[in-house]
Amino acid sequence: MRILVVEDSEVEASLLQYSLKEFGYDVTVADGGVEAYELIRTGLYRLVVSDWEMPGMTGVELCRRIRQRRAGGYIYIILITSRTDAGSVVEGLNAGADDFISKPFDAHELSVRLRAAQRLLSLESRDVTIFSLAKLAESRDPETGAHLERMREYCRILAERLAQREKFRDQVDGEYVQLIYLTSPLHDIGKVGVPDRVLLKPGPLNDEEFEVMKRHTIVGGQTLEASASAHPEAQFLHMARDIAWTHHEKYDGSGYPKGLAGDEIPLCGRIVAVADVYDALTTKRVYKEAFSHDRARSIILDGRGSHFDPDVVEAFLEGEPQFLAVRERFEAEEPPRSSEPALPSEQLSRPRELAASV
Amino acid sequence: MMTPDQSVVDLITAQAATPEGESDWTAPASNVPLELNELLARCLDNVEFAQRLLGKFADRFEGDLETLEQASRAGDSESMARVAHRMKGAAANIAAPPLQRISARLEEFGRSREGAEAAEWIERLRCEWRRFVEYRGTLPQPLAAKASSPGTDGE
Repeated sequence: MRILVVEDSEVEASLLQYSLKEFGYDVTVADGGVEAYELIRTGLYRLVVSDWEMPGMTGVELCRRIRQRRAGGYIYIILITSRTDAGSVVEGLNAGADDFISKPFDAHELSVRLRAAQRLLSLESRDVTIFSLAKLAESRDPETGAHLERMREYCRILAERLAQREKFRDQVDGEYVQLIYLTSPLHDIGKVGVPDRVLLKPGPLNDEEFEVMKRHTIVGGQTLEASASAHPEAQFLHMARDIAWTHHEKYDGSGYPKGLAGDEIPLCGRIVAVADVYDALTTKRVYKEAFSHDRARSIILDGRGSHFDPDVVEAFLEGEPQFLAVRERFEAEEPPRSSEPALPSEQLSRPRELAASV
Repeated sequence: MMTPDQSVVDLITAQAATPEGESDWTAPASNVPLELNELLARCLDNVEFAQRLLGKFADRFEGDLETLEQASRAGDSESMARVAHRMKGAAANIAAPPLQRISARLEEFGRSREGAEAAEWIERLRCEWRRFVEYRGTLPQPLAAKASSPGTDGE
């Protein structure tokens, strides 16, 4: 991995460069903050080890400049400094430094800290990749806007509420919440297998078209099953698989693709079901106008026990203020609310049917 | 005939066994001009690299010492603090505790703009620098000063 060393002292730069090369890193040395910033702009460096005090641009100023950039992935910054007082630490952290090493540095300590940095950066790569895949799957449908961004927030809210209940305490912990936030955007990844004539049809789907659309759960589930089998240690793949397979199952067994019922449906699928329907109801689509929160709430309550897990509906009711806050945050992408026709709950399974009743 | 590495090992052993030297300017504790075992540890036990690093240090320190003296004469506290900071860091990295301590003191003088006392401490630094150079001359090859040898320090 490439590392950028920023150090105006020739002796320290040599020692850093030698040590880091011995540890297997590809090292570039900049003799000050100004040169370092220009190198950062090349996009080649994700790890920076910088002295604090340097003429021209200090290490702290370099941190600030790097954090002000919006382009590129995360850059992990370690400051090397003889400053150990609390005020200096706070100043460095406020400027955006991720870690500190005291001078004179210990090569093995630096190596350990860099390995920790690499682990962090690899996680960021994973999260970015997952969301990018999900966005790619959605990209053919211009109507969905920030659907994935809202979805994962709704799922996080529901999971956090469930975590507070005795019944789910063992299953839903902090890691579970993070995983569902990460993987819920992949729920419709199987739509890459749905032809445009069905996916982008502006009107209601006929029976044949609906059967084609339903296959996205199978395509997504099978694809992620293959990945999960190949990487059994990757928990996020297992959850993503479950979500893709089951987010259209219904609590009473009348859903698809397998007609699972109750607890046969993984909890993550039951959570995504509520989040997905809520977002579909409250945003404008090619086949319907956006409904108000109250109208969506009414529909979800009508589906409690039949379409939706009662516990998850309860979590939704408890988390309503947060749901509304999420909607508001993304409201710039949403059109104004429409008048609200009556909608039987069974039409939730065929959202395009809503267009016929408006 | 001893190999360079064996002579270094012997020197480290001898250094650990003998009492530390005295200095008019520095506290008795940790007064060895160069902590060789610490330097080698920093250089991941690469004796040749340690030698090249010492060479870079020596070249730079002499120049910085002159710059420090000029800054002191000109009353330029800011430059004095900056140069002394660099010298302190370099001395720490090659494990020269007396040079590190005196440079640190000079950095403080520069930051607090106490120029009057700085001149005396610069003289102390020059004395300690001479002591360091002499000490380095007693080291076995390959760590002793060589006439000239531009290094490639893992670059």
